[in-house]
Amino acid sequence: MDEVRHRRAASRRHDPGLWLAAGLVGLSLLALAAVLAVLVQQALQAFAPAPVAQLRWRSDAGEQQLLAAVVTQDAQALVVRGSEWQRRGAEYRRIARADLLQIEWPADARSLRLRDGREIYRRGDAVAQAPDGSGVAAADVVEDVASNRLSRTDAAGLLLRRAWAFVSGTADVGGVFPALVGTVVLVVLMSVLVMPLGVLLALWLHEYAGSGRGARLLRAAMANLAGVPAVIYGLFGLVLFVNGIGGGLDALLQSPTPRWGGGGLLWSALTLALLTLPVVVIATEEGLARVPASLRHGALALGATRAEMLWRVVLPVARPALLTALILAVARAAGEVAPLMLVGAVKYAPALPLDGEFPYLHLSRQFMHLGQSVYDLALAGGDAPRDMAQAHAAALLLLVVVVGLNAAAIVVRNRLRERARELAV
Amino acid sequence: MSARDEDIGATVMPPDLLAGHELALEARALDLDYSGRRALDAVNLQVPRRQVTALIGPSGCGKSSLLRCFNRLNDEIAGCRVSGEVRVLGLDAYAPATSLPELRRRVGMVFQKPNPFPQSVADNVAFGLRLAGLRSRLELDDRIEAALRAAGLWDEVRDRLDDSALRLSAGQQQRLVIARALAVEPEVLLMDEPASMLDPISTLRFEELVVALRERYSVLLVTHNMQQAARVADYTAFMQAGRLLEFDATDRIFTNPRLRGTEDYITGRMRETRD
Amino acid sequence: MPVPDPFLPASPLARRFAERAPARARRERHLRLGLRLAAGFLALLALAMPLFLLASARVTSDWAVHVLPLLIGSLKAALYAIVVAVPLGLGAAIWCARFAPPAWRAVLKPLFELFEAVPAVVLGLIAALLLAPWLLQHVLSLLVFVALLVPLLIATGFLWQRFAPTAWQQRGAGYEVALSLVPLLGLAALSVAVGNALATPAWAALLQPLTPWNGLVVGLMLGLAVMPTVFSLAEDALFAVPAELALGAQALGATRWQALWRLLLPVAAPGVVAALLLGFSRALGETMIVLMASGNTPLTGISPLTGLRSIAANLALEAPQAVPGSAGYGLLLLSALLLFGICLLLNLLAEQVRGRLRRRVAGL
Repeated sequence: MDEVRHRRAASRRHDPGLWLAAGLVGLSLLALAAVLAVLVQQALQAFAPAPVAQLRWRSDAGEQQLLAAVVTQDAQALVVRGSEWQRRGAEYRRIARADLLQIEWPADARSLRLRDGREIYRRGDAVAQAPDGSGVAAADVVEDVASNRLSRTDAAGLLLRRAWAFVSGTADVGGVFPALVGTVVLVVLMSVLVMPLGVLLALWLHEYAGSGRGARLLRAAMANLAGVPAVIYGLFGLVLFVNGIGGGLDALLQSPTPRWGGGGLLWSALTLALLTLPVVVIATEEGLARVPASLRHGALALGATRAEMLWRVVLPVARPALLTALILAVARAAGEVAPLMLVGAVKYAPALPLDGEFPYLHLSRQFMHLGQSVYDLALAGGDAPRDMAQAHAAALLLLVVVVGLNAAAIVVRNRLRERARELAV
Repeated sequence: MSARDEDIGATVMPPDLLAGHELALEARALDLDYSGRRALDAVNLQVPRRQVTALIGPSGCGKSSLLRCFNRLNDEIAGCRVSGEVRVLGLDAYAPATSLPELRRRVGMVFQKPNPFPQSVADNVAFGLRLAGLRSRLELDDRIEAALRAAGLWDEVRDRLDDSALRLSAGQQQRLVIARALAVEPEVLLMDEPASMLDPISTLRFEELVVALRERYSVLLVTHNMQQAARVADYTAFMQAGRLLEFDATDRIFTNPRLRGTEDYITGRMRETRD
Repeated sequence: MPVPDPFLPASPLARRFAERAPARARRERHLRLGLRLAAGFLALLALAMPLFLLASARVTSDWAVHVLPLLIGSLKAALYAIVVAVPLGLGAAIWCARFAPPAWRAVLKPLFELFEAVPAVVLGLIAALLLAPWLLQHVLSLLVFVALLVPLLIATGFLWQRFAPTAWQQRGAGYEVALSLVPLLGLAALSVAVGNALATPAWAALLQPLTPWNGLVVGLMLGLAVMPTVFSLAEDALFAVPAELALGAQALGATRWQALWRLLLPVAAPGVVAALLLGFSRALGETMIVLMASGNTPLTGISPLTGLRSIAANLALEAPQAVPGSAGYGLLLLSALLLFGICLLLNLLAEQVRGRLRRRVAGL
């Protein structure tokens, strides 16, 4: 007994490989946490109110002074943004600390946000005046904040309100509402297309096809389709749906402008439905496999046809698996960008794909998508810190939605396993 | 003990045993293969109407396989091949023209492990009725009550009809399964070791139910419990290694079996073996 | 013996069943038809994709000039990604499958699964806007970190098991991951400091990327993105090997690490190889990260400090403008065909290899 314990203790002593493996796990977790932290921090910058300073500094043009919001600062320099008198102009300046003569944080500084998204700074009740003398109409002011005198709760409230404006605002004021609507409509349409087909396929594979050659071939086909890169699906959709069927439809309907022959909602939904089909089939099949044979036999022994057994007994028991499949498909569709770039998502769409005018759901319209917005904002955000921050905010939103959906799918799948265990016992 | 006959291959059965009886189930020269492995070998069985017939024999002798032939549930097992004749209520069960759902409606089945659907008690019983398109609440409730009464379960669940069937005890679940089968008005009941998962008291109640069911239904009961066969069955068939060896009235087969193999099994001299 | 009348006694219920029978049979037939159609549709789809690619791809004389750099770019990006993903993923898989207490495993597996779900565009954003500028100045720091990582971890393990009080060791058993954060963060700080300090010598200029968007950034972020795939497959393979194998070896005096290295890994090797193949395949097909962080310049040098252009990113950029029937279109589709073919081959190979693992484990 002592021998064994001695040996075990000895073996523990020379197990450095354990630490290597554990360290790699730690490194992975650190990397993941860093990604998340950096994203949250950048996204908050989009919403957090920046302090306003009165600055005086030396430049090539002599001494300058400005009332501006300090966006970021580091050991060498400050990046400040002056009042945006031009529509969405980038009034960003980089001022080296070495050139800085004076910097004050006036308690009465206020930042005003206008209806069209511009931000202007002023002191106290002094009228905000543009260099050309024009003022700001009070009616245009959407938000008026005393930037340097915010208490914690005020700041939190402001953050939430700005976040809400971000989520519900249109693109020209820097909001992502059209992208959200586009994503939701796309995802719903895709689900309507993929779920019935996927469930039917899973039923065929699991309940009818058995293990014959046809079934094996189809299963292999499914597994291989799951490994095809998403962008290839996009290419396929572009050529087959957009150019092929869409172009043909346009020729048939003799429309003056290409309606179906360009990217659109329907083609995007179809392409994504094909992309997520393997996901749905595999998740559904997993659920079907967990339905105990005793239930199936019980139903058949009562005189049910196969169809009735599946519809009334098997599918209801496998409902959690169907839900899992739906969630996974939706999560995938919300996060994929590459195929959508080819078949219908655009940087800016003038109208929503779902609105009040007949036929309400516009299948041929191009639309905005949250993932696509992240990409576009990232490209545009090279110089403008605000666009960059908005890109991060959109990315954070997308991340929360997709990861939330996947977490929900994991929970549902665990419940399914519990239930299957209950039934089998 | 006088010398017993050796197993001669054909079923040993007193002639004219079933004279005057109508037959509920009949198997003639029935062979069954599972992917090449022979499970039933030239089985001849006659199950009389409105009687309880027991099937006994060591584990793996093919009792359950034989049972499943009568409602063609063997079709669900991949690689299963059947040859010979199977007659259910006079109809050829394996004829192409036979409607499978209708056959299975008229031949109810109770399994070894209770398998109620994960639905309410009422929905379980109404399952088969809904297949017929019955929708009227009134008619459904009447039939549900009748079936539950016939299964001896009504008094225990009358206030719990909407509770999940999975909450019932094993004995209650098994009776629920019977009620579910009775609701669609079968004529034959196949039971595959239905009480093997029940405690002794539930088992006795179950056996009383089986005897009561005899008045309207023909019962074929597979059991490994010989006392149960002796208590409940009118006729008993003994199977071994896929062959039906002896068939006789229950009291005669237990007191005076004709084959040595039967005697060995009944007296416990034969060891249970699994194929 | 008389045979009973085969016709049903005409009970009302029996009559209702008889009335409904045709409709029910019809519904059954319709379902079968629907299922066959669905299966046929899938078969059609599975065939249509490669066929259409084959049909429209054109190999013109200058294909090497246009398509080859893209192929090399894709392979480069995938290679850099695998170099990052395999140590992390495999190491994590080994710890999770063999050393982790069950509670940790139950948390880590879903956690990595969730990370696999992070949209690539989000990772591409971080790579392009945050990682790239930072890395521009800190390549040396990164090198220092990578070089010292393994020795540091092994040294930590050795020191801990040799010199730490037994009480600490017992309390800490299972918490090595958390404890390892200390040396990791320390090393990170050290690397950054060293990198900043050594910024001036001439040879440090060799490590300066020409552009912020280069193979190194792509490799890091793409590797992080692909790591969960490698992890989950390798972990499944290692976990599937019965524990008795390892316990048997340990009973004979082997340490856990030795049991792992000499016994379990060789047995689970097919599964691990499959994980690698599938990770590589995923990295090849990944579009957004490469699109946003690689600079999209079709350079073919092996150095990760220059940009690259992958087939997938090229497709995303050029396909919307491609004119069907033109030479460019044909070459575009040729590149897509190459990508599709390679991914397909890798997947098939991985499936084969996984089959071998299944058979091997089943025989144990």
